[in-house]
Amino acid sequence: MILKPLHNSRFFALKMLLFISLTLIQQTLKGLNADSIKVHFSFLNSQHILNTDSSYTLSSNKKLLLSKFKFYVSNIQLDQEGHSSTVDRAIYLIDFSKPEANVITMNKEFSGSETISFDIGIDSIGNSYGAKSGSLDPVNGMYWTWQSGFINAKIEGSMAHDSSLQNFQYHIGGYSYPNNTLQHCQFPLAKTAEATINIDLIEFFNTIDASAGMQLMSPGPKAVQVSKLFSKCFHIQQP
Amino acid sequence: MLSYSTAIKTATVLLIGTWLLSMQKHQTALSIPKQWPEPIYNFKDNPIDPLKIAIGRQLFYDPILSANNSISCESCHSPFTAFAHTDHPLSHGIGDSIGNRNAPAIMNLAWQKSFMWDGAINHLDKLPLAPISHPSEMGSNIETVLVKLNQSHKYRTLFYEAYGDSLINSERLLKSMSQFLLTLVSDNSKYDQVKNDKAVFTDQEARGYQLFKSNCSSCHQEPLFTNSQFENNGLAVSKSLNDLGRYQISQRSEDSFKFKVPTLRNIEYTSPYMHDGRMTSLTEVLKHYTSGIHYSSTLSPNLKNGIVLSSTEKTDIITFLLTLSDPQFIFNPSYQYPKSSSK
Repeated sequence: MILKPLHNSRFFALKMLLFISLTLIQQTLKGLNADSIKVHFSFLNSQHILNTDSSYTLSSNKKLLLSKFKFYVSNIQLDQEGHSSTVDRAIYLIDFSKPEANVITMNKEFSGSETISFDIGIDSIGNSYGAKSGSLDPVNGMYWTWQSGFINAKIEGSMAHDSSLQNFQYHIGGYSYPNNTLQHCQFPLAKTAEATINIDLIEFFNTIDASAGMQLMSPGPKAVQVSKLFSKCFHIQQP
Repeated sequence: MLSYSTAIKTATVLLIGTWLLSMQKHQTALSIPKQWPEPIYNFKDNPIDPLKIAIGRQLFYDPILSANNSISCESCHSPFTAFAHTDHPLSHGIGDSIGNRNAPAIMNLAWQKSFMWDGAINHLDKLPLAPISHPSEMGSNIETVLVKLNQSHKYRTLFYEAYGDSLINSERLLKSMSQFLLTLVSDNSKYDQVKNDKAVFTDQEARGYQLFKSNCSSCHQEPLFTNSQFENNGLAVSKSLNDLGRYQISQRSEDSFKFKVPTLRNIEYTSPYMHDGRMTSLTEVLKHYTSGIHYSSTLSPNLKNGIVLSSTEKTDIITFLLTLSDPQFIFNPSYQYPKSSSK
């Protein structure tokens, strides 16, 4: 058995050239007409990339160190005059450690919708699929292996409070009744094809009951509570 | 010199051979045994392909899935005991660690809604992730396994042949494993032959079958010999394990101490019995159901009134249960360690 060579160098160069030119054409076209809708995600007011080396100040005596922050977005809908339409059935993994993974681009013409809504997490159908690649690949670290189910949101890091340091691991998940952690969000749109959603982690950490422990790694009533709190920290930023 | 008729014969044989081969190629789902329900597994998402089955089989027997290359699936699921782990009440894993449940037999998985004693796994494709990652089983993770497999010329070749691409990703890996597991169908026991008018029960087996139908079949429903539900079958709670069963997954108090009703097919080979392997013989099991039931709030309604059986009746039931043995399943060479296909 002879394996096909993975990279024939001449072929590879040709492919690269084609790829670059296609990207250029795509970029030019994008500038001409805005037939796509973009949703940007940020956290702690316009932070788009997670910096694991520096800390974020939450309050005068609290500092936040984030090591992981990712979550799923699905079931994106745009509403106009009371009619809602699902514009995207894809499931997106927003991951602030990857520069390309904090924006959702939908190839849809924008027709002046008034609200945008989406789910934070994956519904029970998505949780019952067989093996998948892409955002649902278990290598993304968003799948529980001991019990079937996706982690809808993962927030990991540590909190420096005065002189003490406390680690936290919030793995928010669970898709079946009564511990479904899927949360729906809805925001008004300023009639533009681009929106930015900011997740206010200051609000999250100031509201969460840290005395109950800052470790959450399984579905249950606590996960439902944390998922509700997490979804309340999503806010739209008007341009 | 070849005669004209020999040439025609040869041509016919070749044609039929090609046709048979192409038939085989186009079979994309399992054939469903007569009188069985439709499979739950969606073959459209993962059409059966002999090359993918072969990969799954290689992986099933390969300790590469474990952290230190010491434990394979077969370590706890031997083909010669219907893929259960004889003599071991609780599963044995990496570094001599011991799990907290009895490794279940593997068969007829296409008809199973959920997997594991507590139904923790909701899709066959996702099942291998659990033992791969469990610290007391294989102690590895899917990322590491993929790195190791992608470094293996043997596996890259096999995946290239099956998927037209030598890259091994989790989707291809898990789907290939499902394909092999789905082929493990046990449908040729004496019971099946009787149902298909190819054999007859002895008088004792026939008596046992009637007793089985009136005492056991509400949970162990034919033809799969399970109703796929979770039940508390009245076992006293083990103090060392304190296993809450289905509750651990559903978090609902009404699910406390419930475990998945296992199939009784090939039960002759799958001792020890129960989720923690506490019973070694079928005699012990029947004694439990007639005089050992531990009453609690979640006890199966089917057991609340107690099962009454004389010792002769118990022997008759056991005689019937032995008709669920399927030696063809146990000794099927295509389920065994893939000696010839290793490259």
